[in-house]
Amino acid sequence: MKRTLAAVIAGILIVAIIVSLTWYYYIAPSPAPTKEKILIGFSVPLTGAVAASAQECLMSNYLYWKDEVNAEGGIYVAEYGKKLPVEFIYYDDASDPGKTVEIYERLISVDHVDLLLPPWGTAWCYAALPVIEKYRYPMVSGLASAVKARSTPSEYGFWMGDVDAVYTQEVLFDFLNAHRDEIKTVAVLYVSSLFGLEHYEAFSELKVEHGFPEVVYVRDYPTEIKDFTPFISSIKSLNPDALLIFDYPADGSLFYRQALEQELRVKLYFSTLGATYYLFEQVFPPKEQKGVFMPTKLAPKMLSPEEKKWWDAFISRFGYHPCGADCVDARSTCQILQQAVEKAGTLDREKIREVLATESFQTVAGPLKFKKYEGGSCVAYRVDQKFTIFLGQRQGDGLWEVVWPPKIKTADPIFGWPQT
Amino acid sequence: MGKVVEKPVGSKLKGILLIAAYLIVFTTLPYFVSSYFLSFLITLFSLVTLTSAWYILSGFAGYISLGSAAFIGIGAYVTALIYKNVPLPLCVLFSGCIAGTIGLLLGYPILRARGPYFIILTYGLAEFFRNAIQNWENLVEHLTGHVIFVGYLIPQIYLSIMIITLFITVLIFIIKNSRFGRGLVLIRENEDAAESMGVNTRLYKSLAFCLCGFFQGINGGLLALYWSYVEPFSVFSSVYSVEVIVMAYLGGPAVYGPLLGSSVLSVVHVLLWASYPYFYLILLGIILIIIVMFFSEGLSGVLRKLSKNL
Repeated sequence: MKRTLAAVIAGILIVAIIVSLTWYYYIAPSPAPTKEKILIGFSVPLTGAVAASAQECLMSNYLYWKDEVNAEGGIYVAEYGKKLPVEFIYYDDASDPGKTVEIYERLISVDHVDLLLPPWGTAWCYAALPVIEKYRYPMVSGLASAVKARSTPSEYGFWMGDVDAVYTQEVLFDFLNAHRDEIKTVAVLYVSSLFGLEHYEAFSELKVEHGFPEVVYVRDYPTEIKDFTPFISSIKSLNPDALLIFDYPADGSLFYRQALEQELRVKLYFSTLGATYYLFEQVFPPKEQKGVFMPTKLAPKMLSPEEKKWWDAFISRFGYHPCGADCVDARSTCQILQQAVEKAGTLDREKIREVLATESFQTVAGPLKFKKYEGGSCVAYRVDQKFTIFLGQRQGDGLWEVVWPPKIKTADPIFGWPQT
Repeated sequence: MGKVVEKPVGSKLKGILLIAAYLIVFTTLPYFVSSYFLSFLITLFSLVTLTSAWYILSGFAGYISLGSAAFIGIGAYVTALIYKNVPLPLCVLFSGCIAGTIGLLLGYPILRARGPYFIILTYGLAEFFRNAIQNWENLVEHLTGHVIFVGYLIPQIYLSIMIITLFITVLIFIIKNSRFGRGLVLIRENEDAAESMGVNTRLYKSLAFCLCGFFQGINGGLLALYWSYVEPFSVFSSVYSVEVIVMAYLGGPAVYGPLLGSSVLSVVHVLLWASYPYFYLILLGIILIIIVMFFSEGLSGVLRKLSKNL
């Protein structure tokens, strides 16, 4: 009996020692950092299914921004009367949204970061949301769908709207409205994911509101699809004026290739992400790219000096130019955070939150401001014009033009696809 | 039947003391550690529960299941659908009940298959539910995924999963020494012989599958609250099914194997990814290869050899 009790007590002591040592060396809160730098934390998929896209858009822009800011000495914080350089702490979430909660807990309670940058993707940003709400860390989510955010209550989540479904469909319908004579019938395909569904839902609502166009074909497809042949054959037989595909880069490129091979012909071919990423430019030569429409927040032919600097430096550092959507959102996220700190004059997160909620920001996506939805979160919109996203078109030179709205277009739209 | 051997009173006392120590330590821990550590423990306990639940059928009866993702996903979705109208603890319990019931109903036909055919069927189960729910959401509900925003619940989730882990660990020990457990072991050794000896193999296997589904479903419900967002692609991911098997095999064939394998792998995992974000998967892979090559009976086998030598 005594020996048993001794064994049990010894066991408890051993467990307690192991837990304490683990806690002390690996988990214990470290002393708050002195203010010689601004510590910014985030999670990023360094491995896993979405790692490639995240590296191309998110990580590259975060690293570029950090180096850009530090080359100028850092971010000016009036409270300290000086510029503070930026330092990152980031961890791999292995493309698993479940890990995001743990990572953001660690960043806040163990690493004591001053500020946060968002992770990649809608599921990841929503996973982080309760943590940022609990600890009151404002976070500008650049690469997440904002449609659900309009009805998700949050005081500290600020959503950029990554190729936002509502904004994209609004500019598309404005374009279609102006070209009713050319485009009367459409075929719609969308990927079976939150992204594809939101675009289709937004499209459907606008179709009811505008009373056109006539949808002759609508289908969804799984994300891991390997062959679009039956879809393309059906669409060909119906001969629609326009094809609208709400896609991701990989499946979008696959569909595009097979549509070319099967000699699909339409007046207008619109792709959400399939034609937007650098992947598309790697797969298809400029001649084959010509004619496809896509959403964009960037006009490569009309870059401001600051945007041109970013564009050229990006190519020189990473070997490819920024894409017109996700790269713009990732960079805008960083710019907004920097300006919010500068305007607040402090690293006090409540003051930064207040600035985010009330001020406007100059970004590569244009001048943006956040609008709070009742019972929801804050979502960004452009303050200088009606549309937050534009309609772009690849016109055969390897880049793209902005073709709508007319006020800011860099070229006229070309109807007829393909143009080869 | 042979003579019934009564367990000595001392081992019961040991068990009670261990349970008491576990409850004291882990209930008071939130007052002393950071919330990050609680997040880590949620992941650890969750993996222990999932692997232990898997062990009920696959460890005892030898029917290797790749269907863990199905029950996790079902549990997550049940919680996502009812959390606004039902108190959260009941949500999670209901998730387990639904998953367990599905395990019982589907187990009856599926468990007629054996060996690799059963493995394939269970894998198909997860894929079936993922695609079915995805198509339902797309075509009927016109949405994908659910946001489950109930605020910050890490301490509550931690306490719940901690108690569930204790419960299932104790249950496994009880099953091991029960008629039910001995029946499952007989099924593993020779199912036909077990049948001829009067063991209702179909009932036993179905019950084991049901229990497995119940606990994995509860886990899924808690994880849904932890993640705040569920969609078919993430909650029905086959990675969970494989992870569970890796942890079980790492732990070894002993009854405490799932507990050991999950705990050790979780600790190694978190120590590596925090320090080596770019290399930790490589390091983890090397560690697993070493263990598989040199310690084929898992960590429990290593402990057994060590205790014999001491």
